[in-house]
Amino acid sequence: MTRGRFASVLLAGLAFAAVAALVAPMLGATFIPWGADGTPGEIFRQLRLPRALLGLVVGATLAMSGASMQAWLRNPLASEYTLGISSGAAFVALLAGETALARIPGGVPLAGMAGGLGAIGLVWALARRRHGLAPGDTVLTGITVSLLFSALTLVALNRVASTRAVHVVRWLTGGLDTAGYDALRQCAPWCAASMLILAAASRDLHQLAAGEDLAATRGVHVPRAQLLTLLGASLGTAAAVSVCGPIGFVGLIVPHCVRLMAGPDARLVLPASALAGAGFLALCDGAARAFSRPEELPVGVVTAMIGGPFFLWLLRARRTP
Amino acid sequence: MILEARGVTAGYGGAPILDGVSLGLEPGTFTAVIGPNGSGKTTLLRTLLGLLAPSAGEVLLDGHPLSAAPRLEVARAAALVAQDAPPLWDFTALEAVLLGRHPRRASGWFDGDADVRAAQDALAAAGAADFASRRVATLSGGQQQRVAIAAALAQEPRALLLDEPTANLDLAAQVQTYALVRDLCRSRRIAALAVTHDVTLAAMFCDRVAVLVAGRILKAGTPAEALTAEVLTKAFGTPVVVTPHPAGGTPVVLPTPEARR
Repeated sequence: MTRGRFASVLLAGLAFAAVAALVAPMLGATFIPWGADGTPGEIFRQLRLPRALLGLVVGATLAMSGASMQAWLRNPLASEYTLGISSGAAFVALLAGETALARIPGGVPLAGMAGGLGAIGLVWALARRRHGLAPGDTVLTGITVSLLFSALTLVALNRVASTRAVHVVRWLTGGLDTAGYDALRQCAPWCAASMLILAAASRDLHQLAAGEDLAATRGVHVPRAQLLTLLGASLGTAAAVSVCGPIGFVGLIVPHCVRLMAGPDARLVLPASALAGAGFLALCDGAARAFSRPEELPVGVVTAMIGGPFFLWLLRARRTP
Repeated sequence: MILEARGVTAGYGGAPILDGVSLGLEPGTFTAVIGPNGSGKTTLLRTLLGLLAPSAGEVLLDGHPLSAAPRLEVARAAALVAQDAPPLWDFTALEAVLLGRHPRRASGWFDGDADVRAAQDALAAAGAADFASRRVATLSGGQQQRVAIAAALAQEPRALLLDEPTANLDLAAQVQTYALVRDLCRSRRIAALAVTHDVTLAAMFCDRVAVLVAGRILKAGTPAEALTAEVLTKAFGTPVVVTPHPAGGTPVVLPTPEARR
């Protein structure tokens, strides 16, 4: 991939994310334009703008994590959601949120990362064969591990004080409903770190498309690349999950569409997925608020309604290459 | 000697698969390693490339220990044409070959004009220039093998190691693949090593043949020296006859009906 092509595709992605950033905060139960005064202006600045920004950051992180998992496993069905990272992170983040860890800055996201790493580590250990991972087995194992952690989460939910339970259930649905900039402050640094790590790994992930042996004979330090990818994807997913809950399918749909448009090169697919994912989640959330008024539909429900059928279509499409 | 195994013992934990193997690759020489399934052919190839560390003995690159050489230096010296690499369906042939530029890219990150030129040259050298812009998924098995060889050539290696390069290829593609590798040996002074079951083709195109049995080299030499009925009957555990090829006189190996069941 040449510099020129890289720049032109990323500019297109940037334009999409910018349009989403402009449009998303205007959407909702009522339309509020930029620069509104009075109460609408307050709603715009204190609720809608931070929410749109959170959508951009979380969408970018989830899409890039998903893209990195797909490149790492050479499997379009892989993502932070289908490999159990999301539910592993959610489970441990839920536990951590009920302990003293919740009062330490970064405590919950880092604990969530440990949970995400534990989940993907378990998938890796169960699905690993001598010459890498069998793609079908890996996703099947991932979904099973994901179900396991979801069950553990429900067990943990029973122990949560009933006054908090409603809030926790809402969080587990996956949504961006926060007020003010606290949520953004909590997760944005970790999301940024995750995306930097994954961007640094993207060149080696591109090489891994040809398999571990060929990548190694071309000079890639394969275990280091794989570890960086795991750390980056787990950190980003956990940071997003600890604030917004597990929002599914963003990491599956967005990288797939990016690959259809921009080709298979991970050096390009990862950053382009981040930009496209940012715009996608912010717009999904804006649309959910605009169309489901007066009550709000969590964006996790919207992405699942788009993503479920999409996943089934991918499954079918893969069987007939 | 570009690459050399000296008394190499290696395996994947448990009993070693290679047991004290010595083998050297000379510039301009095409060597074949033949032997029954499980005799350690692919393990030898992976050990020579540094993908697997020997538990005893050593692999030398230009006379120095391979294990101490920097990754990128090894990648610029020796390239692999793998047998069961994941297919790059969504790549164009040119994109697949550009993967091989990884250890040679001037910018480190992006493919520059020099890399694209080198990839096009590699495609031309492998007889694949005509389908440079086609997606790999639309190519035939023989064409895909040419692309894989071109990707290895894009590394500008001095040694080329091929793992069963003719598995799954039709007759014409088998001959063309061997002829291509032999021509590259001659024209670029590349040291080539092919691990193969194609005894007859190896005899036709290779300069040297090593017969590997149960992790040891049973016999090594020119095709005429190594491919005798006695050696092969012992190696494969089934009686064979060896007869000169009507065109060229290289050994042709034929199984016999008296095979033990």
